[in-house]
Order: sequence, then C-alpha cells, then structure tokens
Amino acid sequence: MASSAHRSGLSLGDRLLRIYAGLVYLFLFAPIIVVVISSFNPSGRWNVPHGFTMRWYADLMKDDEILHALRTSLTIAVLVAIISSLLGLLAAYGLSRTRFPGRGLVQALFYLPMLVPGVVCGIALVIWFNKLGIATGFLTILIAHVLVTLPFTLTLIMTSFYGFDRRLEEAAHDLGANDWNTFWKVTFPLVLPGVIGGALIAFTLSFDEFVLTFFVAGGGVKTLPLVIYSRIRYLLSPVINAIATVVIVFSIALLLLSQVAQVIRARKAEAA
Amino acid sequence: MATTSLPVERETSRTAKAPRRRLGGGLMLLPPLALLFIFLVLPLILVLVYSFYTLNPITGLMQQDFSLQNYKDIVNSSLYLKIFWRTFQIAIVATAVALLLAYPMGYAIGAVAPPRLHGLLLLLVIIPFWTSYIVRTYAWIGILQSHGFLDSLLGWVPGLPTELLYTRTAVIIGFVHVYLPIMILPIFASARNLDRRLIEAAQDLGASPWRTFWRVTFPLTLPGIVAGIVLFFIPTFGSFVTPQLLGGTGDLMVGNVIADQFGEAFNWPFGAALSIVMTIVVIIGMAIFFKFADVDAIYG
Amino acid sequence: MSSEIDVSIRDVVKRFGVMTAVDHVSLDIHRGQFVTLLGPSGCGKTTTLRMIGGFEHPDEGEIAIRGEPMGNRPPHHRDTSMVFQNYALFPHMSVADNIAFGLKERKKPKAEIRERVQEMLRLVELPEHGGRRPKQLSGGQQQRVALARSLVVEPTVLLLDEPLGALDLKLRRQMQLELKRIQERVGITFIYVTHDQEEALTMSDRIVVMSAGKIEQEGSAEEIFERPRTRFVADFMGAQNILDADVVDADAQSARLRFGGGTLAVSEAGLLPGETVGVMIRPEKIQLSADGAGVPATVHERVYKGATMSYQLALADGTRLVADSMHGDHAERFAPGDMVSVTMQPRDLVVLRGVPVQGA
Repeated sequence: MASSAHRSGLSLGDRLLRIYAGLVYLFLFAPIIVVVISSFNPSGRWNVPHGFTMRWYADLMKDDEILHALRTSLTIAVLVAIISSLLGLLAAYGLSRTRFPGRGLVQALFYLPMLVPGVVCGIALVIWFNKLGIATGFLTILIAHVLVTLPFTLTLIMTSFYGFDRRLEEAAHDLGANDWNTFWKVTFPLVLPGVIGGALIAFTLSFDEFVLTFFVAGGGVKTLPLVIYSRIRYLLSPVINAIATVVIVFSIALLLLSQVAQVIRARKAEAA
Repeated sequence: MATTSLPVERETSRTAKAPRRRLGGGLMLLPPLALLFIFLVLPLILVLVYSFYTLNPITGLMQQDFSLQNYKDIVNSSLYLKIFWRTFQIAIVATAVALLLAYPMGYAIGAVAPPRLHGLLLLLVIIPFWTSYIVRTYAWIGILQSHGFLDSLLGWVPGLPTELLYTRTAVIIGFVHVYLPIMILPIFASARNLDRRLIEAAQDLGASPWRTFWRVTFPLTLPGIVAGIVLFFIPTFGSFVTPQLLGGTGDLMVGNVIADQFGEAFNWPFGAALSIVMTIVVIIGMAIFFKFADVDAIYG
Repeated sequence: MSSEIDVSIRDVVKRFGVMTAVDHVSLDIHRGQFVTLLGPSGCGKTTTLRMIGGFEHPDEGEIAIRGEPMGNRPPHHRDTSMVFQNYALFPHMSVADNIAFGLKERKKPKAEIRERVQEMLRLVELPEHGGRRPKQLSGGQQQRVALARSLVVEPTVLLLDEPLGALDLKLRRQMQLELKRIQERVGITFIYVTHDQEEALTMSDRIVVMSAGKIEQEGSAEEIFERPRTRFVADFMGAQNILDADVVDADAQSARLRFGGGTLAVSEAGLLPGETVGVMIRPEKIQLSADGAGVPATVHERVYKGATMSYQLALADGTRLVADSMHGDHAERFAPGDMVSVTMQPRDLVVLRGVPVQGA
C-alpha cells in the first residue's frame, strides 16, 4: 500500500524527469543511430540521407585489410571468451568457497585491471613483455584481453555462486558423489548460465578492446578496432560506417544474448 | 550499518562450509591469481622501476641506474604541469556535466520508474556502453564536424556553432558519452534503495519538495554519486583516445603524452614516470574528494 | 472529552486502478481522542490514514481538519504528523537532528530548537541519546525517537501507521501503555492504525473497525468487544462462539431465535421472521450443569487454562461451542463424553448481521 504513492498521477516534476530521461537516452543512442544511418547514405557524407545504398557494404566485402582484421578480432575474441570465463569460473569458485586472511585483498586484486587506467596498464605490459623477451603480437594481445575481461567475467559468474543453494552440493556429497563429480554434475550445470554470460561479455569486450591492444599489438597483428582507428586518422572513408554498423549490431546482439543467459540463470535459481 | 550486519553473515558462512573443500577452493584461485600477478602486478612494479631510469640523450639507450631526473623534468617543466592542469580541468568539467545528466537519470530509473521496468531501462543505458568505444568516438566526429550530421540537421538555426570537432567541447561531449553509463549505474542503485517513507516523513514534517531533496534525498544518494564520480573521473583522467580523435592540439591530455613516449618519442622511462605521476595525482585527487564528500559520516 | 471535531471525513473514495481501497467512508474524529482504525491488511485503514496525512488524495469526498477542507494539499502544508511503520528515521542524521528536522523547517530559533529537542527526549525517556545515530538504537528506542520527531512539531493530529509492528510482544505491550501515557499527557488527537485487536482494545478511546474499504462498526473499545454488530467484527475481535440462528418470530422490540436445538428470546429490534442471523456469546457467559433445563450438549474436550476450565461442546445438531467455567471448589467438573445441559441468558446473546464469515 505504501508503494502506491507514485502511482497516483504524475506530478509536474515526474513529467519533467521523464522528458529529461528521454533526452539523455537520445544522447546515448545518437552516435549509434547516426553511424547506422550513414552506412546506408548514398552521398557517403555525414548528413541526413536522401536515398539508400548498400554500396559501402559492397566496398567492405572487397576491403581485405578490414576483413582480415575482422577475422583476427573474432579469433582472439573466441579464445579470450573461453580462457577468461574459465579463469573467472575458477576465481569465482575459489572466492565463494574459501575464507582466509587477506581474502578481501585478493578480491580487490581481481578488480585491479578495471581501476588502473588503460594507458598505464598498456605501457606496463609493453615494458614487461619487452623485459621478458616476448615478441608483441597475437599472444600478447590475448594476454592483455584476458586481463581486462577477467573482472567482468568474474563479477557475472560470482552472482551465480551467490544465488546458489549450497545444500545441493551437500546433498550430492551425502549421496556419495566425490568433489569432482559434485562439481561437474551439480555445481557446474547450475552456474553454467553465468559462465556463458561471462563468456559473451568477454567476447564483446575483447572484440571492442582498443587501448591495451594499441600498446601490445606490435606491428604485425591488427585487430579491427586498430584498423578502424588508423582509418579514422589517416584514411577516412564511408566503408568505416559499414564496418562500424556491423560491429554495433554484433555487440548489441551479444549483449542481448548475455541478458537472456542472465534471465535463464535467474529462472534456474528460482527453481532450485 | 555494515559493522552490524557483516559479522552475522560471516558466522553463517563459516558454519556452512565443509572444511575439506577449503583446499580445493584455494587451489582453484591459483591460476587466475598467477595471471594477475605475472601480467599486472609485476608489470606495474616494473613501471615504477623504469620511472627511475633515464635515456642517454646521445646513444638513446636506457641507463639502468637510479635517478630522479624524470620526475625533476616533469615538475620543472611548465609544459607538463600545464598538461596535467589541463587534464585535470577537462576531467573535472566532463565529470560535472556527466553528473548533471546522470543524477536525474539514475534517480528517474531507480526511484520514479516502476521496478518492473528497471531491467529494460538499465539495458538501454548499458547498450551504448557495450558498443565499441572507437566506433562511438568515431560517430561523434561525424556528428560534430563542419558539414557533419548536427550541421545538416540544425544548420539552419542561427547562432549555433557550425564546427565543434577538434574543440574542448567535443572532447567533453566524447567523455560524457563514453562513460556516462558507468556513472548512472551506482546512482541508480542508491536511488533504488532509497526508502520512500523517508521522503514522506520529511514532507510530513514540513519540508517542501525542494528542501526534502537537499536534506534527505541528496545525502542518502550521495554514496551512489561518489561512486559514480570515481568511476567516471579515473578513466577520463587517464584517457588518450578521446582527446586524440575529438580534440585539437590544445586539448591533448596526459594520456596522449604518455602514449607518445611509447610511440613517437620512444622514451619509456619518461613515459613510466608520467604514468606514476598520473596515478599519484588521481589517487590524491580521489583522497581529497573522499574527504570532501565524507560518505562515512552519512552512515557512521 | 471535547466535542470539537479535529478530523472530518465525508464520503471519501480512493481507488488504485480497478481496486477500491476506500469505499465511501465517513468519520468524525473528536479532539483529544485516541482513535484506532482496526482491520485486516487491505481493509483501507492505512490508505485512510495516508489520505488524512496528505500522502494520497481522495478520488471522491472531502477530508477536513479543524473544519478546513484539505483538498489536494501536500503533507508539508498540513498540520498532521505521521509516525511511520518501521519509523522512517533519517539514517544520515543524529537522533537530535531527526527530532529537530521539523522545527528547522519551521525556521525556529536555534536555542528554542535545542531546548524543545531536549524536552522531547525527556518525554520519551531517552535524554542521553541525542547524539547517537538511529541505527545505534534498539527497535523500541527508534520507535520513541520517531514519536518525538512527530510530536515536537505540535501537530493537530498525530497519525500512527502500525508503529509497533516491528517490536516483539513484550516490548509492544510496554510501548502500548507508554503511547497511551504520552497521548494523555500531550492531549492531542491520535489516529492509530493496526491489525491487532488487542492493541486497539488496550489503547483506544474509540475503535473504527474496517473491512473491504468500508467501516464495519465504530464505537468505544467496550462496545466493539462486547457488542459487535456484524459477524466480521465479532470474528475479528476473536469471538469463539458465532452460531447460525433462525428468527422464529419477531416484533418491534424482540425476537425468538432457534439455534443448536433450542430457542431463546432476545431483545433485538428489526429482525424479520425466517431471516438467518449470527449469534455471539462469550465462552464465560455459558453455564453448564449436569441436569439443567437447558440445551443438551456433549463434552468433546476439556482444556485446563489456569483460572478457568475450557470445554469444547457439541450441540445436538453438531454445532460447536466453547464454554469457560471457573473451577473453584464448588464448580462441577465434566469429562469428555459427558452429557451436559447448556444455559445462556438472553442479555448475553449478541445478534450479528451480515454474511457468514468464511471458516467461522
């Protein structure tokens, strides 16, 4: 009954707040909308289009540099998704099942990649790889991406563990399952939606990652964001709109997919 | 608040765990911890070490003996001080503008919109955030350049600036757009947790809506505001892509100077020293801010 | 008791979507009284209270405070003050600042505020707690602070929304008496919302029983408890014996009722022959004897209750009845299976109107 206060008609303030929120949403989506519109603009310029063309997408299909970078980015993103979600699963399991002195510090350490400015993280890795004698390239990009995605996969998978009924594991033990079987037959299936959600987020983040990649890529390997960046600086052309639209659609689709995984997780948690 | 609820939680979890799984859980932590240690902690320590090295001006080789030269160069150079000051100014203005947008937004979603819409409204905030940083920044180039999208849409309005790209304004817009979502989220969380009855109680005791906001709503959502400001300010201060792509030569920030040391200038020790100074400045800035915001006093 | 009216509610209706929370309610609340709105959750009592406070506005009808129609006036322009469920103390302010809140809004001088806050802390017996945070106080103490915060602004009417709901039973009993003491001392009108009939009986000068958005009965605690008018009120006040009775014949002043295999005359006006009504009788008003001339019944169960012995009885037609008898030295005792004779005095029977309550 108490919560019904704001249902009884909209005050002027609430109305203004709605309009304001609508404008902020418009601001947030404006660049995305403009890029998508421009990718179909026959003039190839940044204006309100008169007409429709697929020409820039046709050009994109002939642009070997971009297509090659797209393949590289996809490969890296798939590997990062697998490695990062696996490490995130280990970390989440370990953090949720153990109590030891300094646990808070360890947990904070996992979030460090999120707090250190990208530039600092990037140069630290460059210096370190140089020191170790590891040539910059595919492997170093992979390591950097796993590093920046780990806090996100960990967070997502942790939520699965928090909503987890520990008695299910105890029941499995009680029925004679050992630790290994309990993990794979009880624990893992229940946290799987969180792991999948984490993998999807890791994929998206890796696919879009620029700052660290910029430092650790070296000369040889070029990911899609690197190519887009250099095109923006040196070779601006409408093809960028087309590939940018592809990236946008791809990212949003993956985010929505991860949301679906979240909903499934919530349903499972409810059912458990 | 936390001091009363935490011990209870700890007690129950302590009794709930089976002792034999303690070791297994610890072992599982090892691989991710090793990764973080080898590829983040050690590299950061190495940055600190490098910041005390110098570059031989003649040979261009690194001299690996301890020296404070880089730090002296930074402090004694009006150029670098100017760039730090500029970085600070840009980050502050962007944070302020973002807060003006994020607060009503977070409040509207968390405290005004019905809870069943929370998921959808937040998703709409997060979608732009998950979309490539480079692509979004690129889009602002297209919107803000002369004869760009904004021009073609609103060019007929007299008095509007036609060329915004490569200005300080463009950099601010870029920052606000890129990091606004991570500022909205904590504000949303604190607004959602706001007890409506506290607002009713304030009005009941004679406070007008405006007074209620300043005496109750604002202080109670302050933790969200503080978290939002921190999450916004840190990446903005350390950014180099946005000023690179949207700003003019007069808008370059510390991040650009650092990046240059690893590209064009190729002076790693100096870049390392700049990174350390930047990190220290951010930490000090945040410490002052926390003291000023005094979140603990609210829930003390 | 003053006859001046503090709050006048005229034909008020409040709807939330398709649900009608308050359905044509009219009520006068007199100055200086402790009035309780009593009923199960969803009966409209809280909505009524919130409308008096200005947190909700009536869809129809009018609420006036001291003769002045309130219209859609917001809470901060009303002379009412609310003590909220779970207290709603400001967590970011000290106890003293919480109490001073309303006075600051009224721009009182600092010295006066300090003095009044201290005075209030003494009234609620927390003189040393001004500097603490609400979270550092116990539930009962928070409750008193909430009361002080509302009383300090000297409202015309104090509204209390189940303020004791979060306290344990012992503390609740203690706070009930204390609330009553404070109300008598400050002398202002209290409107109290609760679903606990015992709480209502303990504190109230008048009780308004509500059900499904309507007022079922209004009266003194004694009237409500002793002479409920409807089955709902009788049931809600915890009546154990509510029987179905058929009106055999009736005239202007009295009627004869048949129930449980016997008939009794009652002095109740307005009954129609053939009508089915409810009859309530308190367990302690039922006399049992081994060989009386009353209605025959079988003892089903006997429960020792200290001062009394409680018997579960079944009448010839299967109707269940509970009778409590003092078990002094002279009282007869019965065992399960015994046949007994039940007698009741017509003046102890309460005739109830309205549809039978489910499960009664």
